[in-house]
Amino acid sequence: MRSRLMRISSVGAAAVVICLSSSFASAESKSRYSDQAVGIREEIIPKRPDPLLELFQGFQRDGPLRYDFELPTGMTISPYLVLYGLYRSGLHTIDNGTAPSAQWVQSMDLFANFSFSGTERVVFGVNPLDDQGMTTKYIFEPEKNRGWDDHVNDRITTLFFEGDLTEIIPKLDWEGRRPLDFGIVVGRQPVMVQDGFLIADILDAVALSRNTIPWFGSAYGRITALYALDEVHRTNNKEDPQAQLFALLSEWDMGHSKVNVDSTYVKSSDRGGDQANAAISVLRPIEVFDTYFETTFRVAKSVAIDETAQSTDGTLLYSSVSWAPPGTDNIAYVDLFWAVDQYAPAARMMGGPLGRTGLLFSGNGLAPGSPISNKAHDAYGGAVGYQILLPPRNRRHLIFEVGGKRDDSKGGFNAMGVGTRYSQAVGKHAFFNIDLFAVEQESRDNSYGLRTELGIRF
Amino acid sequence: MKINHSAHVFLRRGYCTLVLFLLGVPSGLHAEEQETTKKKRLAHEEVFKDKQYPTAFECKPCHPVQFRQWSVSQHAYSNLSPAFISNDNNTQLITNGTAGDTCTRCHNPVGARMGLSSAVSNMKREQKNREGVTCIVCHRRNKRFSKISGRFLPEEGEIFGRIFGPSDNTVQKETEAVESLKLTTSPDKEGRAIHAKVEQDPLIRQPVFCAPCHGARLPTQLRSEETFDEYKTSKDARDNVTCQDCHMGKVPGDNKGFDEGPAAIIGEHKTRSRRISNHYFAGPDFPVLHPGIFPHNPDAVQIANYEEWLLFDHKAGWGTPEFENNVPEDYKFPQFWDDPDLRVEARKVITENQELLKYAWGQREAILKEGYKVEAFELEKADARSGLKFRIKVKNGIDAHNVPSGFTHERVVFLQITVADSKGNAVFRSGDRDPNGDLREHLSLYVVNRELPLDTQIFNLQSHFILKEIFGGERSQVSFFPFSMATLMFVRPPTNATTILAQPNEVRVMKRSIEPSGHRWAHYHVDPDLLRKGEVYTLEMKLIAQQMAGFFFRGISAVGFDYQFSLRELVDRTVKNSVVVWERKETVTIQ
Repeated sequence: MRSRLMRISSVGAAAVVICLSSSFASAESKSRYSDQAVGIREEIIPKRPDPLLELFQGFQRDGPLRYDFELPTGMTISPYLVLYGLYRSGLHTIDNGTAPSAQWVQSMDLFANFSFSGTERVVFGVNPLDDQGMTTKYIFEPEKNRGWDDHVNDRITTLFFEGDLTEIIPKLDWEGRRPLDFGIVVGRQPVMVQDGFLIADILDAVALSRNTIPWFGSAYGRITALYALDEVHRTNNKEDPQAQLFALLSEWDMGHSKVNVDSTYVKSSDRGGDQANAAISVLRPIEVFDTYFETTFRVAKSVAIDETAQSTDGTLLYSSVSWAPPGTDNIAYVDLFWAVDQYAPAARMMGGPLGRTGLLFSGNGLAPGSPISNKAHDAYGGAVGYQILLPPRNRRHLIFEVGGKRDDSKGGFNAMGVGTRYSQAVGKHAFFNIDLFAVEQESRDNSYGLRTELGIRF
Repeated sequence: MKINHSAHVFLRRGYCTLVLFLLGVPSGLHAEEQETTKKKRLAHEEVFKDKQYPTAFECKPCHPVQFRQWSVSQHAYSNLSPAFISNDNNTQLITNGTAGDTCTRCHNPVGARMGLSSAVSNMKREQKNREGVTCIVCHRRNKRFSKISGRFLPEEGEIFGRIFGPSDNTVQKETEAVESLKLTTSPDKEGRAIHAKVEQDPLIRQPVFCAPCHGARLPTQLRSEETFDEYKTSKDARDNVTCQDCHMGKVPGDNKGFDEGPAAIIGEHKTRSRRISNHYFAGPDFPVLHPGIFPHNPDAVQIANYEEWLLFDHKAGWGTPEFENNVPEDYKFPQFWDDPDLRVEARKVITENQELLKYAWGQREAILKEGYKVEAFELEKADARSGLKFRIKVKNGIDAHNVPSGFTHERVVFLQITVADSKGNAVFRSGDRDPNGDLREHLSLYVVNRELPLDTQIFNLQSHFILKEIFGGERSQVSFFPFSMATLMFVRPPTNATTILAQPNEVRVMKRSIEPSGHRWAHYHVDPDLLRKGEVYTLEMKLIAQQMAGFFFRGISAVGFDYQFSLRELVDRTVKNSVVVWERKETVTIQ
């Protein structure tokens, strides 16, 4: 029955194509490209805003490039230094069903990027108002805690060097013929693997990547070996001082699919527990009844070599299907997950791996937590949402979402809710987000919340 | 730079002078005319001289062969291209200007040095800011640069500055010694101005020389150009076949050696013969511009400026004897082109340029046919029960890099299939175009608006950007802006190490190109309900290479197009520039 239906539709489609494409000449069609000649609209093209500070060649600044230097290694550098960052401030009021919370939170990410060439750079970053997730804020509620909660700090959040081997040591390949396309990175750096499902942490790590590998008939392949010697946060979001992380990561473009195959091993003390992880994801567009869907399927597995509170067995299945309604750039998404046992990411600094599922499962980096728990322990659920991208130039977004989670883990509870977000860019540097949500929770009062965020980029 | 009126007058006076001379006008008057003519010529040449960088027009008198090849090349076109101009402008618009000189450093190094943005029309620019990757970009490079993403500065200085090339100064010294040529390397002396010195750059013939632009990264560290990286892992690199061997040799796309000849031809004098490289650099792009504007032609800019050239109706035959001898009385010309003598002069330029374009087409077609091969057609089934099943094997014909390569999300390389019955009625199509010229893929407006069905069996090697959605997964887009993730597009260096994943967090490329010596199978199935038992069907199959998709232009149209193009006209011309790199017909009888 189904195959007959498919055949009928394909026959019908073919007939439509043959008829319409052979005689289609309608000047009335809204699909026809415009015949109107429009010259360069000089008046709408903005000038480059200067960064906070830039030295030497400048960051993407036109004009003379007067700072070429040849290093003893033979490398010619064209350096620039740029200071930039993101200031964020957010008011939120949330009642999670047990305790209300209202705060005004501040965060300031400051970065300095010193680039030597197109591929070599050093990045230094601090967040003087946020100490590993503990933010500087004014607490309105609970009343007993009212007042400033100060987490001003001088912790270095980012300090790494990355580059290309034959760029750093050109004499290894002076004429440009040897397959030494190795990327190197060393230092403290944010690492995101499998979209945060496997690793979402700031690690002290060293990594080596080999790119442009045409194996297995792929158009592109990449293999990365990573070793993190410190700053590994476990599934409970706490740093495990004894943990070291080893990872072998890969990506392949095969036909119409992008495939990521990643594996990790966390070695720790008896208390922390060793853990192995593996994850595969496949990104592929599919066509069903003449409609184009984007799909991502992911399977992630954690195996506790030593079972502890931080090292647990579990499997996480995740899928995302999205679609752009005709004539729009909007996104309708359906994201589903199924967590068997207690899936534990290899390294995770904040929250749980289900944050990507939807608005209801994600934090905003300022307000605490998420409307629905994003831990992946003995649970299944998902989110259905619609993101509207509004003119001008998609600088306004509106999201509506419905989501829920059945949670059979110890201490877990079922929840289902609705959420919405309005976002807007303002001028060249600012944006704001406003989130509203309401969640019905089993065995406790419902949860409601308002989260706001004002961001200024410079 | 508008010199059309004085050039016009100059040409007419020159013509008149010649006539008077032939009629034996008194020598006194003739001498005066000669002096005036000489002054005008010198003044004229002065206009092309640039103190900061010599233009290609200044190199042409001594290097006519190289100039001719370059003048119609993609390098010469790189800033004139309306697609480039609008893409850059659109990028600035969306990123609030923070993308800065990302694109112009490779596409127009001289313009970027001058602080010129793509918001300024080519029609309003000086010659040196139109020439894109011009002579001095390679021949004034004084250091070894590699993956520097275009951020290097050619050595400044007028024609008398030094230049770099494959040879040392020996030949120049020999040539300077030929007194009759009256060469001078100093602005203080009268004579034919040339560069003071030639210095040998041993890397100019090596692959790394191409890396600054063909191994570039965007400021977000997205690997926008990977041709150099692809090459380094290839068999050709192991076999010491260089980029220059295939893209500057005798045969486009194949390592068949180089032509021999003089590096310079000064009047009747030719320097000694040696290997000379083809400065056309064969590749997949072809211009869409008026032939009065491109190829670069100094005679063209003497006659008219770009805006005036756009009014010259070369397709109607202006300036040809057939047209000029039969002009209807009520024919209305634009005022500038009202003079038939001028039209005739202009036609000479058009003819010369069209010959060059024909040459360029041949080179381009040759290199595309080297890159894309169809190795097999296999008929799998042809019966009334199963329908018609066949497959086609498309192979990368070269061992050097992927095909397509570079900015692969622009390149459309696809199979066009038509199955028709014995009466010529088409029963199946794939790879056909919608009325806009786009393939019937999900980005076709006709498909989006449900006026045409999606082509579910299309074979297309075009890559796409994959952008993270705010929640869920990722999606393919024409542009590389993560619209879903953020309302404010703001370009700054990424704060994570992009080396680990070889790309930024929010955007990556889904490469659909074919690796060196690799292949892909295209599979087709025609439903049995569309076929009749016993009928003979003809399969028309073509592999087509198109430099850019129509919907790409649509995505950048908000900022307008240079030369007053409409979206439709630009797409039409691009579609017309498609090359059929392979075609075949098969007949099949349904059992």
